[in-house]
Amino acid sequence: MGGAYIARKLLAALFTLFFVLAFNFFLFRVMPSDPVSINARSERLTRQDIQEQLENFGLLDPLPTQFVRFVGNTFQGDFGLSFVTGTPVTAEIGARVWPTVLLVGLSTLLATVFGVLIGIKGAWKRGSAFDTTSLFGSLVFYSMPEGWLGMILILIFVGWLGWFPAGGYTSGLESGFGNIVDVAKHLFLPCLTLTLGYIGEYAIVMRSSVLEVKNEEFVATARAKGVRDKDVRRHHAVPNALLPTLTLVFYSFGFVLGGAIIVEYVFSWPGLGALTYNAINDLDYPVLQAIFLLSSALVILFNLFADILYGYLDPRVREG
Amino acid sequence: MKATRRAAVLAAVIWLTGGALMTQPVSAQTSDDEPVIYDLGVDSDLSHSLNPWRLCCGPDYEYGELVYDTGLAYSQEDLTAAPKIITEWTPSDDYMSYTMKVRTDATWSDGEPLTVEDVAWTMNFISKYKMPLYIGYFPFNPTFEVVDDETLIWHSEEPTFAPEVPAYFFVLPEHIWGQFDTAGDPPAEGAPQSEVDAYNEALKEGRSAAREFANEDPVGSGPFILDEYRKGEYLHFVANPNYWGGHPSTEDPRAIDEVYIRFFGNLEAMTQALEAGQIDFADGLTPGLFNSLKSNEDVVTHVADAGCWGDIAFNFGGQPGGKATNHPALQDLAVRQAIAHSIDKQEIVDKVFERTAVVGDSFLTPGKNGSWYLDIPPDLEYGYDPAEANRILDDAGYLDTDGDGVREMPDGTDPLDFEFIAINDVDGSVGTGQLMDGYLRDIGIKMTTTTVDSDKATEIWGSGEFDALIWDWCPDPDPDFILSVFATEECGGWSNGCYSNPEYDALYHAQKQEMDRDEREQIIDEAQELVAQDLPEIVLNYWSELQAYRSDTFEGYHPTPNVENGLLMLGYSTTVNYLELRAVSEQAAPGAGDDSSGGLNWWVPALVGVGGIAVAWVLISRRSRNEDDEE
Amino acid sequence: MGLTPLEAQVGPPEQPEGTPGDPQAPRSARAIVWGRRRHALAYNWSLYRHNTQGMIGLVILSVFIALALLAPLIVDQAEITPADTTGVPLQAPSADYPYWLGTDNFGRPVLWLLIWGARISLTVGLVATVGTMVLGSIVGIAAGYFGGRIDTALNAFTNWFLVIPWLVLAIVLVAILGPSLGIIILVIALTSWAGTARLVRAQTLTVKERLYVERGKALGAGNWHLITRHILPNVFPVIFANTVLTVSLAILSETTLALLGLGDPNSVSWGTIIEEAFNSGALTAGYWWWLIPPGICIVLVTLSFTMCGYALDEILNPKLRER
Repeated sequence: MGGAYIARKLLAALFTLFFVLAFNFFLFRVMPSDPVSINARSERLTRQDIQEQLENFGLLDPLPTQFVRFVGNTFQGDFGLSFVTGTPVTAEIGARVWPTVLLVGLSTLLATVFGVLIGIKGAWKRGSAFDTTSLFGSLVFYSMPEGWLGMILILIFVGWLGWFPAGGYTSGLESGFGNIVDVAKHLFLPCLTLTLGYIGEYAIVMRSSVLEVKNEEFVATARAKGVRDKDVRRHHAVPNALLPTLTLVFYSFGFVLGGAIIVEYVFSWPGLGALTYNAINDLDYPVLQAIFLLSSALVILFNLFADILYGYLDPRVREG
Repeated sequence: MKATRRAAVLAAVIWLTGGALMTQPVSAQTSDDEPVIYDLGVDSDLSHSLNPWRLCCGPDYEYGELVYDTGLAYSQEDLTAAPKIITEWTPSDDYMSYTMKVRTDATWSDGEPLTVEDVAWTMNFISKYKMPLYIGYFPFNPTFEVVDDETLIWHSEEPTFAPEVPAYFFVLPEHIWGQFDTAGDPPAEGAPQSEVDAYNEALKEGRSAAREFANEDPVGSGPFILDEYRKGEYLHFVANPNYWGGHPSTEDPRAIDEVYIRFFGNLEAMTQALEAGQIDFADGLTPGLFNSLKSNEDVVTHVADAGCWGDIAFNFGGQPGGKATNHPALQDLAVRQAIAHSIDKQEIVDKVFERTAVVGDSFLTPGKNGSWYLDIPPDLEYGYDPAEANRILDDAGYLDTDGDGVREMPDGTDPLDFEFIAINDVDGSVGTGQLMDGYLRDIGIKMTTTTVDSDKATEIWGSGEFDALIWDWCPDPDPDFILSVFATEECGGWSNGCYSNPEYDALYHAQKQEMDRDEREQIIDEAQELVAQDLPEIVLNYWSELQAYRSDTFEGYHPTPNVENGLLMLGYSTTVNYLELRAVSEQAAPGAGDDSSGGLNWWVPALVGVGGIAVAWVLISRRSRNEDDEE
Repeated sequence: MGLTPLEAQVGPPEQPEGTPGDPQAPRSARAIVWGRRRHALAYNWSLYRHNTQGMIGLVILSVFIALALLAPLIVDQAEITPADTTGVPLQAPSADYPYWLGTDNFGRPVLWLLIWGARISLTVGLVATVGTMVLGSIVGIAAGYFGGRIDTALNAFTNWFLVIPWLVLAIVLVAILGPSLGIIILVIALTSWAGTARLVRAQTLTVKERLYVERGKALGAGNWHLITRHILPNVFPVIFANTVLTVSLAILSETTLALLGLGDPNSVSWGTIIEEAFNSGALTAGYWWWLIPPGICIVLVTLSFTMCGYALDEILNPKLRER
């Protein structure tokens, strides 16, 4: 039973992934212009030069030919060469992946931990000053455009207090432990921005799922059996309430990536978000295709993980 | 118990901020052998790669000129030809050939000597493979003949002043780049077509291969050697101790040992970095940021002539492909005159450029083009005068016959509704468009603005599907290239809007063949007057590059050209400043650890991640304990 | 308290006269149904009125909507047109109306830009949401109601839209189609309907299982009848609460696109004001009056929509009400 469930989910995930693969190929092919003309004036490229370059990129071949080549290469793990730099796309992405892992990973972690804690406490003491304040705070941060929040943080912490650098990943001047400190300094504001941006949502969801679980039969039963309140919470309510929140964390991964684009832009953070932004501006199809595919694959993977987790922990789902 | 919780939160905050606060005064103390580091901030990464055949924008040329040497340089004084690797150049009487002397004391950074063969090979490669970007400097299919180990001859098919423009190119090592020169000799006269085709195909392949080479370890002869390129972050250069001129850092402890060119995703971050002393120089500031720096007493702001002009280019139609959608009214000089009269150029400068540009009149710029520039006499200009504009249109028969506020063609048919293309990644283009809309409305002309990116604009420009472009041009110091923008033969090429005027074409060709500097200048003056009169485009303004630098770290900036508003960095030949700048004191420049292998590694995220998990764990366990206490 | 727009919206959609396959519905029965619904509405409104959160949101929203509607009367349009404005550029806030919030780089009063921007931002938010809802409901109901292969196909389609990185897709689509207001609305709708579809599908499945649908089917009612009469009214509360929440997301999406320079360059929205301020160096130059107020407006409006949405959710989803 469980095996069949997982197999079904896996199949669906693979199907979705192939769909993404095909879609992102055609999506970028209908972009209004070509990747060569962008700087044609500054590079003094004549129209013949542009044609020649397009031919070199294989962009003058018929679309089906391009598509077959693209799918074939992708299955061999070959994402091609960046149109802009001429280096392999895997290297381009490899160079940018760690800053984003660091930024998104840490902020997701912090947002989840703090969101869950705030949510539990708020729900358990529903209506208390803490609950009201934290709920309102969560709603406010949830309603904030991340880019703007980042700008305001720059205004406060860089312009006014002067505590942190305004952008970048490192100053490149340090090594060893000094370098870690340097990165942490640069990381603080973008990480804070993303964390604040997501903490609200997680807190709200955690709060309502704790509220829901609180009313469920088994909690009532446990209480009736005279289990102490804190034990009810720790051993019954919280573990059950955690599930929807963690699921949401996994499901919302795609949104976090979106947030990374704007936050990396505001803070000059040299990660995948910034790479995406530049690649769109430069119409660097190979890079865009790879990012699109990888991020979709990640989201699919996380969704799959969430589905399986859900199915494992809540047997009802498997039947449905 | 509440206190412990707070302590845990505090621990998390300290873990993140602590580093920041603890390490504020980083490594300000230096010893004598600590390197002097110069940090330059720019707003974009290299546009392509480290390949010198594909330079474009931003810091590209800065990289090129630090790592490589050009054959000839632009003089710092007035941007005329100056010696570099080529030290002397003498034309023959008929200007069909130039004899050039090449310096013999230069070496490549891999230890090989730089020879006259390298110089001749590079120029031959450009001429033979028609390398984009450089081929314009090598007209009339020149060939290059090595005479002895310090002399070569430039042979041209026609008389030319091209070497004195100067011909701009980077001398590249044949032992590296020769691998792309695989086409062999051209087929003999009268060879079969298949042979010619094969040769052309080989040229194409060589050209592509050379342009696509990643060139990750550039071998050059320039004053600095590239140490590291971190995409999206910085370029790091160290002094070339074997530089032919002798690198100043080998003698003067205050001279620059290392250079960082840092890329900032947005200008805001760059400005903050300058204010915080993290960089020494900031380029490409916006007016708002620039003005905000004026209150900082350690920062000097500098308005430099960018050598570019913003314009409105009209479309005359006839682009190859037959898709042109130009409005017939724009072929009428009266309409173009009226539009020129309707524009308040000063207001555009004030509002769109926040007074950092100056009103323009000719397609050559007063700064970069120096003496070639003609200040158009007032009686040849169409100044701001909406009433006059309305009168011209009335007289020419463009009347608003149907009373909708928009004039129609004299025959009463088409309304004067023009499609303007504004380009959102060109400075001031969209803002100018917004103001233009009002100016044209005042004279009964409707304007529809389409806002696009410059790549789309390039396509529209080529197909001719527009009435006017709000764009810019940055001419070379020599006027030859920018003159081609109005030549009939460039329709489908560099022509702005397929303007065609035999009188202009005659002037354009005459200046190409005139070897006498003064005679040529007169011809070019005439061309400038003609364009100002006939209005194939309207030059709106010359914009400025807004630069700023810290005065408490380095001193000794020389502008190029040597006028008050010359560029300090990121201009033609401004790289000489990297050799001439001196640290204000030995302590001023921030030093670096001797191990430069730091930076971005997998273990940095890993460590921080582990730290984060640890903090989370502490928090959660504290929490649980607190719960127990509470009961 | 009079009838608010909210109440009017809560009612189920007008039934088309003479729906085929409905011989069993005499007029009186319909009147009874409507009466019951009206009663439910009144009841819900009384609940809503006692929801502080919801009421605060509603009041703030009303103010912004009023400002947006009255904007042509308040704002001198010439003053917010770059070509015609008479203000001094980059003036700090002063006591003279309309310069309470200073001016931008063209000399346009920021206060008036905000009021005018409310029109654009709210329009984008609301229209995009309607698009999202229509798309999401059609796909969700079709998948849930018809089941089988249609469900499998639509579900795969929905899942696929859920996993592609929405912002990348949105940026690319805007780049392809050009940054005009209509396109931005379309793109936001296209990138955000999938969540609604999933929700609606789940709800449709539940409703479908209910007995009266089975009974309706047994009596030979057509699909259209079942969907419009039975499924839609029961799914609607879920859709509606979700709609109100989606407006917040749509407004935030528009802001994000604008911040990345993909707003409509020819219209003023709160997002484009922030973007222009940011690119003009408002942070370093200290033009706080240009950067901060539009962000506060966005927070207030999205917050209000969210608060209204949660309040509605609590009322329309009775399971939550018991707590």
